[in-house]
Amino acid sequence: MDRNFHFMIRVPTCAVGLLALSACSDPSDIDATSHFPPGLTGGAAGAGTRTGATGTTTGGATTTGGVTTGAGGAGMGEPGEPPCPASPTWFPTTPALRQFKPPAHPTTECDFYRGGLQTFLLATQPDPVTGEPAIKSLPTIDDIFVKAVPLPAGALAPPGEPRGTALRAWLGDIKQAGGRQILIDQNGHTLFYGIHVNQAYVDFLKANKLLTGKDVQGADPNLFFPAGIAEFKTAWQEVDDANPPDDLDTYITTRAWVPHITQNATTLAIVEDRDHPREITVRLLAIHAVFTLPGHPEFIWATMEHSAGTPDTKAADGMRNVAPIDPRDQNPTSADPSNQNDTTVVSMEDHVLYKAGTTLQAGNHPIAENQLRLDEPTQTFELAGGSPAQTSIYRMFPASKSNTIDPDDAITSLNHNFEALFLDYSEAGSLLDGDRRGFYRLVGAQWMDKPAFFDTDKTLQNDTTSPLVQGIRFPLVNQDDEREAAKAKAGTKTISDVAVADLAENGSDSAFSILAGEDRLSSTAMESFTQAPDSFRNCFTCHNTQAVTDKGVPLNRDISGARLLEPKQLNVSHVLSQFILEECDLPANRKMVQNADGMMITAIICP
Amino acid sequence: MKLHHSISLWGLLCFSGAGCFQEFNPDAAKNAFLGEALDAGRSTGAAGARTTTTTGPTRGTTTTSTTSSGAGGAGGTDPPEDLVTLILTPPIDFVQPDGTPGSTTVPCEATSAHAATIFLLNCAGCHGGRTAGERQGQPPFDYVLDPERLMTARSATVPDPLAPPENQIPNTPTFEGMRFIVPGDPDHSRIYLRVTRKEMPPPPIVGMTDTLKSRPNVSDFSVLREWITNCLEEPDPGDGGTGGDD
Repeated sequence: MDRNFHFMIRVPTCAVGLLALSACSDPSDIDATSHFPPGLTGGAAGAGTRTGATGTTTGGATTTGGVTTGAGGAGMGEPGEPPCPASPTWFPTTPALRQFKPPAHPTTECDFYRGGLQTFLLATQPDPVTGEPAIKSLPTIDDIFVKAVPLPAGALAPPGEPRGTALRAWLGDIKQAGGRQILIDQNGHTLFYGIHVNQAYVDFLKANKLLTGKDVQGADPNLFFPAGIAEFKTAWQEVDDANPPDDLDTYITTRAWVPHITQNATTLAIVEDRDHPREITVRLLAIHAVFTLPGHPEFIWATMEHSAGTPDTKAADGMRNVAPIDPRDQNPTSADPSNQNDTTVVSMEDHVLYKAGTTLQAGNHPIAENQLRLDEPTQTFELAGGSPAQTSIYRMFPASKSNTIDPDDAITSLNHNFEALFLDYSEAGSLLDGDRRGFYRLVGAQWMDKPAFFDTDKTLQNDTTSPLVQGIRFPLVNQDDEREAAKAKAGTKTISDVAVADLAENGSDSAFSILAGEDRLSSTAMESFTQAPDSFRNCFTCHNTQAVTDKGVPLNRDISGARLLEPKQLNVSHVLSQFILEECDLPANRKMVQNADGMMITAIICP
Repeated sequence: MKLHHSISLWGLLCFSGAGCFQEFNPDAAKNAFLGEALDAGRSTGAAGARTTTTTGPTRGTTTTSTTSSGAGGAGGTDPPEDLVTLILTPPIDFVQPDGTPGSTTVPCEATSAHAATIFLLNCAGCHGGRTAGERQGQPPFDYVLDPERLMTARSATVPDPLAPPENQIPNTPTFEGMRFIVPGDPDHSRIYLRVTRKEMPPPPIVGMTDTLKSRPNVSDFSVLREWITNCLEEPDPGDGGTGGDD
């Protein structure tokens, strides 16, 4: 490796002074309101002082002279919570993920988090010869599907080789999912997003003959993703080759073909041209590593981001240099759920996506396209008045949880062990050249704690649509006893009231939660502007089995949008909807159709 | 900046070529079901050079070779001195069909136990063969808890789409019924298709209350698919199949 892990430069975070940046309006016209019952206003609890991770050892584990025995409890916040280990086999070459259905609550969630981390490691495994990350050679949407109008000969690299050619960009999608906002970094550049899948994903689509737009739209709504599928979304930042950042050798980097960006002189709309790309150096800021396991067709949605030093077991350690957290280490309050009235300066230190001195109320706001001006030769943006264009991003929920600022003990433990594992391999000189995977940390993950509720046309949320909030009888899902006890204790309250109160207090740890993991999980690099609880609260807000629109969100949240896919279990993956958008979104294909509920909507129909 | 001073002995073990959990024979649990999975789940997980045993329903790992304590930390934040460093591949915990906890290092052992539980909860009441009432069907189908028989059995009425056309004609001497389970091929496994198409268990009669305590769901389908795809091996030829009304 280029740089020893010991010598990472820590970027300290502190909060001094005030500097207000003007907030810009969200250009999205989608329904970003939440659909949850009274009492679940999202993220109010947990503000205050961190209380977890006090080092008592309970639950049977004892640590003596470097030897751990017993059933865990290794000084974690929850009595009896066992440590979450890193596997010694993860380096130098990561093995395939073991396919099994991990236990649900209240057993530790370690297996799910480990799966997320290992899936990240597989995707970013450096090539032993070239050092290139594996993901650069994984299939993209261009590679998977059969287009009605094929790309020119030679536009696609041969299968298994690094993607991208001088005729076709492999990175792109500069607009974020949800609101199609554009993030502008501190250098005036957009980020470039990539979508990749593993070979099992491709094989699954081939086996089910889902390779054309028409076939994808006609897919069986009850067809589900089997175990072993993985997809990845990556966020890459352009690097100035003439003036590279000092810490570049702590990032996974590569050369990438990215779209040429233009701006319409009249409408000011910003357009990507992937067929006339330019090749630049990029560094990986963050990655979603998403995968299925037996019994979990909804995918486990894990996300990682870059770290600037050790120890970094959680965002509050101050080492996450992509974006800072609230210096008070707190969640938004119910009185100000989007921090719109909070003038606290997030940090006086620059971060990759954050400008020093920006306040909470000024952060996380996109710049409307018509306020941006593109300097086409340099592919950089400034504001209409000529001042620098920069969006400033911070992490709104420090632990990505609605009810607490304490990260899941299993994540803290796993990040710690992963850190130690990478360090030891580094010290032993046993890493492959260019292996920088140890400079990334698990932010969180989300999946269904009760996947028995996964089905077609479901929201997959802990809101009024949840069967456990509605009190619908559904046998044989875990934590039956805990729910019965809570209901019995609540006396005359309705099941819904009991469920709502318990979810507000315990979040995804509630026995009434159909979800598990981080219920306020966003990537600061990929869902930068939709972190607020009244926007897209978590992965399943968009990645569910409802009909999906051209904004990549469920139709019932974007009723003016154009429907790409009718309700399907496959809709959890937006690879399919993104392909439909790219393949079929032509004026002639936009039709008015009657939705299942009788409402007339716009639908994109692939011919 | 203080440095991280974790010292782990795992490195010595792995660098010397010691086996790790992921290198175990993944086929060890193939065809394991009910009894086999129960037995396998109680076994301990020896891990090459490691001394690792598994205990109990939770992450009960006892290791004498893989950990260190008190990882140091850089300045500026509280060092995580309370965090134990643990470098190992943990065993897989699961619940046996009889409700007891199991633990294994072989993923298919856990998947087989899950599959057995799904059949036990959703199918055995009519096709378990444990009582006279669990022999329903015409002819009786009473071996849903026996994976070996499921792999050799064929439908008495539905032809095997993989058979030659001349062998797909019912009530002829050469008729080949669809196999109940084809290892590696869930989409040609009659049992899998009937369950995922929600033909079995029979749907409730319209207007009547569903009397079943459980019905398989999509998560169950996913487990069954994995079990058939990756956890079963073709039985020895010549075992002979028994027709059944699936």
